[in-house]
Amino acid sequence: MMPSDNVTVPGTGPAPHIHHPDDVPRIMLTVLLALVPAAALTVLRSGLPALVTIVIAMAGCAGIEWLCLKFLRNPGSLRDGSALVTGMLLALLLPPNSPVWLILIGAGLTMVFGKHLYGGLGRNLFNPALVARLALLALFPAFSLQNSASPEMAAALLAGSAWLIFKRTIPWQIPLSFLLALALPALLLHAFAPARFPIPLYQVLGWATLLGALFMAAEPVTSPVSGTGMLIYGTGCGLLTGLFTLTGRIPTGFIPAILIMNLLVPLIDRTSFRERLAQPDTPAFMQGKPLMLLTTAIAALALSSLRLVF
Amino acid sequence: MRRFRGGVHPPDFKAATAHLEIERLPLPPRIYLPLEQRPGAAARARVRPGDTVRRGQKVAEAGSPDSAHLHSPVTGRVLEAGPVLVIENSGETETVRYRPVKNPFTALPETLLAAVIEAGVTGLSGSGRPVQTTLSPPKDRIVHTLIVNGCENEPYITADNRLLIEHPDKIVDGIRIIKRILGIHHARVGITANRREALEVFRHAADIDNEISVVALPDRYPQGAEHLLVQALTGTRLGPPASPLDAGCVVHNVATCAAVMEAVTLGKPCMERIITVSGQAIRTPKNLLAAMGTPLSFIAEYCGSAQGAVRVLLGGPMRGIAVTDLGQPLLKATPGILFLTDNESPATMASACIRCGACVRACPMGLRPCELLARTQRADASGFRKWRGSGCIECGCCAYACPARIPLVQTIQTGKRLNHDAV
Repeated sequence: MMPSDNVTVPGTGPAPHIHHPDDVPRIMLTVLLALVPAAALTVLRSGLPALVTIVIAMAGCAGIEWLCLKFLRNPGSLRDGSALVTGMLLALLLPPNSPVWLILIGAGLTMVFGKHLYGGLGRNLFNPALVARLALLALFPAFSLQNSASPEMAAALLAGSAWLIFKRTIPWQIPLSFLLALALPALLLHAFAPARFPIPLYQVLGWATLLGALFMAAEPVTSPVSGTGMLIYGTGCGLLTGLFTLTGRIPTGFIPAILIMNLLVPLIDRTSFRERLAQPDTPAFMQGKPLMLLTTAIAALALSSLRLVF
Repeated sequence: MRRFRGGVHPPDFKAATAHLEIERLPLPPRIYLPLEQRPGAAARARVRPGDTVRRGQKVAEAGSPDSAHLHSPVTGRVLEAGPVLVIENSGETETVRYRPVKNPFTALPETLLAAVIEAGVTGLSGSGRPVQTTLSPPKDRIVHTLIVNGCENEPYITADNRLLIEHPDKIVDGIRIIKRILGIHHARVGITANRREALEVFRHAADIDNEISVVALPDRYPQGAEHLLVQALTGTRLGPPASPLDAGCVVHNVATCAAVMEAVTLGKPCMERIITVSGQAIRTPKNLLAAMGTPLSFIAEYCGSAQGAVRVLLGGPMRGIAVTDLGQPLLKATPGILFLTDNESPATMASACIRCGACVRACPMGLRPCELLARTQRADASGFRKWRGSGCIECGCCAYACPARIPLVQTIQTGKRLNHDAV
C-alpha cells in the first residue's frame, strides 16, 4: 500500500476532511523564503557569480531529480519543492565562484547518493546537501568554503530561522540544543584556558556552522520525530561540531558532525519513545509563540554576547 | 486549567449557526428506519406493511441487549417492514399516550432504567451505543462520577451548544436521573471555555444540584474525547484499551442526558434530535430538531438546498463520514450534516512521509502515527503493538496535521485490525 495510491476523490474519502494549511510544497517554500536573506547577502557580497551558483544548483537539483524520478520510479514529484531547497542549501555551502561543472556534480551527488538511491523523499538517511559537500571536499579539496565569523550573515540566518520556528515550520528543539551545545563548551574552554582556545571560537561560530545548525540539522527527514529525540540529536550535533572544529583541520566541522548524528537518528527515535497517555501540557505561559520567541532570543543573545567577550 | 499535550486547533466555523435558535423541522412525507444497528443485533419489526402506526409507537424491538428499540416519529401507514422500515406520513398528528415516570427523583433506579430502555435512547454524540450498556455497568465495577461532555469541539457543529443555551434544565434533570440510576452523587460537566453564553446559562441551571460541577475546558480538539475528558475533569490519565469505567467514570453527552430526561419525565421515546446543517454550500444553515428517519435530501431542501458541495458529511469534518447518497435517512447518532465546498474541503493526494513529526506533536495520546504508518505498511503486527497502536483514539489530529496528507487514521485502523487477526 503506497501512500501515493490513495487519491482522495471529491465526494468520498476518509476522515478528517479538513487539514492544516501547511502541506509539503508550502513547507518547502517557507524554508526557501527563510533562506532568502542569507542568499541575498551572499549575492550582495560576491556579486553575479554567487547568483549564478544558486540558480545552477537549484536548477541542477531539479533536473537531476526529474531524471531520477523517471528512471528509478521512486514515489514523489518535483512539485513538492524539496529539490529546490536542497539546491539552495548546496549553493550556500559552495564557494560563490564555483565552476559550473562542480555545481552540477554536487547537484547529482545530492539527488542520487543523498536521496534517490535511498528511495526518494522521506527515505534518505543522510542530509543530501551535506553528503554532496563532503564528497566534493574529498574529491576537489581546492574548492573549500571560508567559514568566517560574519555578524551580518549570522543575523540573516538567525532571522530566517526564527521566522521558521515562529511559523512552526521547524521545531525549536534542534537549533536551540545545537547552538547551546556549541556555545557553552566553547565558552567554558575559553574561560579556563584563554591562550589555548582563542581563535577556534570564531571558527565554531562561523556563518556556515550557523547554516548547519539552523537549517541543515533541522531538516525533517533526517532528524528525529519527537521533541526529546530532537534535543538529544541537537546536543550531539553541537558537541561533535565543537570537537571536530577544535581538533580537526577543516573549519566546517559541522558537516561530518551532522552526518554522524544522522546515522544515529533511527536509534534515537526508537529509544526516545515514552507513552504519554492524555498528559497535561507544559504550563500555559510556556506554550506556543512566547516560547519560540524566548528560545530564539536566548540563542541570539548567547551568540551576540560571545562576540562582546572578545 | 492545564490543557492536554497535543491536539489541534482547526478553525471553528461555528459563526454561521452558533446564534441560531433551534427550529423544528417539519416531518417528511416518508420516514426510513433501518433495522440494522451497530453495535448490537438488528432490531425486529413489530409491524407489517399496511399497518397504521401513530407517532411515538414502538415499531421495532431491540434484537439484543446492546441494541435499541425503534419508534415512529410520524403517524401513518407502514409501507415496508424490513430491512428498512418505511412509514408514510399521513399528516395526522395523533400520538400514542406517553407514560412518564412519576416522581422521577424518588423513583427506583430500576424503574428509571426501564423507562430509558423502553424509549430506545442511544448515545447521541456519535457512539450510537444504546444508553443501557453504560447505565448498567458490571457489578464488580465501581462507578463514582458521571462525566458529561458539553465541549463539542468538532468545527461547524453547534447542536449541543444550542441545547445548553435553550434547554439547560433538560440536561440538568437528565444528569440527576442518570446519577440516580447509577447510584452516584457526583457529576462533572465540561464545557468549552469560550462558549460564554452556554456556560453562564448552564451554570445557573445546574445550581439546583450542588453535586453537579461545571468546568470550563480549553478550546482544543479533541478535548471532548472521553479519555481526555476524564483526565481534565478527574485527573486520571488513561488511554485505550482502558475505558473511563477503569477510572470509575461513566461519560455521556449533553444531548443524551436530555434524551434520558425526556424518556423518564415525559415518557417520550427517542425519535428526534438536534442537528446542525452547515457548510458554505448550503444556502441557509440552521440548527434543527429533526426526526430520525428523515431523508437527508428533505433536510437539505428545507435549508435552501446545496450548491457546489464537493463533500457531504454526516458529523463534523474531523471524524464525520462522507456520503454521496442523499436519499439515506438521518440516524440517531448524527450530530450534523455538512455541505462543504472545494474551498473548505479540497481534494488531497497523499505523498511520502517526510518524518516531520507533526503527527507526533498532534497526538493527544503521545503516540507516533508515522511509526504506526510504517508498521502497517509492512504488515508488522508486533511492531504495531510495540508502538502502542491500540492506544489510538482515532481522533484524526495526526491526519489533520500531516503535510503529506496521508490518511493516518484509516491506516492505523487497518493496523489495529492486523493485530486482531494476528492475535
